[in-house]
Amino acid sequence: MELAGKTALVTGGSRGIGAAIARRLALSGAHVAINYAGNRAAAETLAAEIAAAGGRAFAVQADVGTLDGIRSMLDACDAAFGGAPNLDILVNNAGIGGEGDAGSLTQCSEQLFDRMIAVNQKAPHFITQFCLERLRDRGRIVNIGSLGGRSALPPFAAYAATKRALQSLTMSTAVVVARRGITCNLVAPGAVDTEFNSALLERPGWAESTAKLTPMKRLGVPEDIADAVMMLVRDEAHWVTGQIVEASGGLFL
Amino acid sequence: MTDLTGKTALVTGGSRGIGAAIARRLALSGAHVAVNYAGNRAAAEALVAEIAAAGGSGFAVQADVSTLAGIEALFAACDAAFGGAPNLDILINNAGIGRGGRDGTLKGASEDLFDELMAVNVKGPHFVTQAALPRLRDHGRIVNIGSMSGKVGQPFAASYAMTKRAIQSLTFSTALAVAKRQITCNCIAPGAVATEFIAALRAQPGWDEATAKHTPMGRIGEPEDIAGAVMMLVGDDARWVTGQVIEASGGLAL
Repeated sequence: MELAGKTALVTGGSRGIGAAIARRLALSGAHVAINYAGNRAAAETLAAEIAAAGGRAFAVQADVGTLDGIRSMLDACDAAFGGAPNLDILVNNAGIGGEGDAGSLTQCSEQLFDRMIAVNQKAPHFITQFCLERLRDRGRIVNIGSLGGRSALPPFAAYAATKRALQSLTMSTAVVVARRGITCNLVAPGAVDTEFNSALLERPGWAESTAKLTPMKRLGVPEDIADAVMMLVRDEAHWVTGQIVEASGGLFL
Repeated sequence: MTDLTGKTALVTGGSRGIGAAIARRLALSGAHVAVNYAGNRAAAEALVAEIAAAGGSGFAVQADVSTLAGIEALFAACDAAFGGAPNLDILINNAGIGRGGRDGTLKGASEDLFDELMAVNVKGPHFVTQAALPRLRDHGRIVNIGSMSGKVGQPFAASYAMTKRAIQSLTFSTALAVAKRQITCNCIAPGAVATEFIAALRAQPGWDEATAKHTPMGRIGEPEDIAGAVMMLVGDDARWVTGQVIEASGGLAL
């Protein structure tokens, strides 16, 4: 077990990409905190699934869009993992988009904008800040971005802006933690078949045309992204830090 | 851990420095490795012997990859060892030269130096990749070795830096050309690595210390650091990552 004896926190870990990451880390031997905002059933089902497969995981409810939420999440982690330093792997995965056209440049409300900033930017910033003292030397931080952080996505302008900001946080964090042998990188998924993209997936022909547009000729699945995260968590990736790694099957190259 | 048992690999410029570390790592992970070298036969054969002694499998192939004749000879030797095409799982375009102690500045570089750099660092990987296309198996891996010089300005090595930007471009085009076959192509860009390649720089008093201090992780890179980054990309876990330029530099020049 490659990650035996290690601990991990995955924010937004109950569904989609986050669930695939939590599952992969846990089945590789890590003890995983699965943070969720609202879907308790999904988080507990995943924790049970991991336990049934011989792994260790627990669900932690917290709204990471507030500092109170972040504090309560890390309290729960400390209770499970023991005194600091107690964390080996932090995956800042929690993120929100907008329903339908609600997040477009032309339609986006101030309320939705502020909420996206809170969950997609403020959360990883302060979770990282609070985890600095908890992370062990040679730890790993992986932020989950998006191809929207590089390419124009007018229907999701504010969301894309938050993902560009996360690239910036990745570079700053990498420099801050480097002396301790901790790396910080960002994995930027392309189009992935999850509930997050359900509005797009429901549009007639969207899945087919996106698969066709992708050089590897299919949509991504959450496991593709989880495996890219695993690639960066391994010891052999110790000299790779501050990088934006697209996991997209070649989309928008 | 990534297990490469049953796979074949070709590492150009594999006898020394970063290339040798990559060849060793691939072979010790189970791959059958062709170790290409241009001139240092003793180093290539010593590495192959070391790999064999550790229970791995590799062989040395002399070839100048800056000419098409050299590339043809290289693949003829690989085909003889690996069998009929498709016969290759992993291609590492690592061979490269620097200014070799000559004036590499934008102001002073000679036409000969420029042409030689382009031939080895750009023409080599371009035509090695072209020749490898029909030989690569589906789900194969191509890793090009670039440099942080492809990202930052290098007035003292302008033409070398151009070649390393060019290999980024080759990486993008190759990734698109091979994607349907689920082959990935990525570029690893090392920062300062303690090898013979940068002996002239390292001979300058205080260079090592200043570079280590300048590197966020607080040291100069080792060839094994780069080999680790290559290993990261050759496994199945990296199947959805393609066309990427990934710096392996301990955070240098972020």
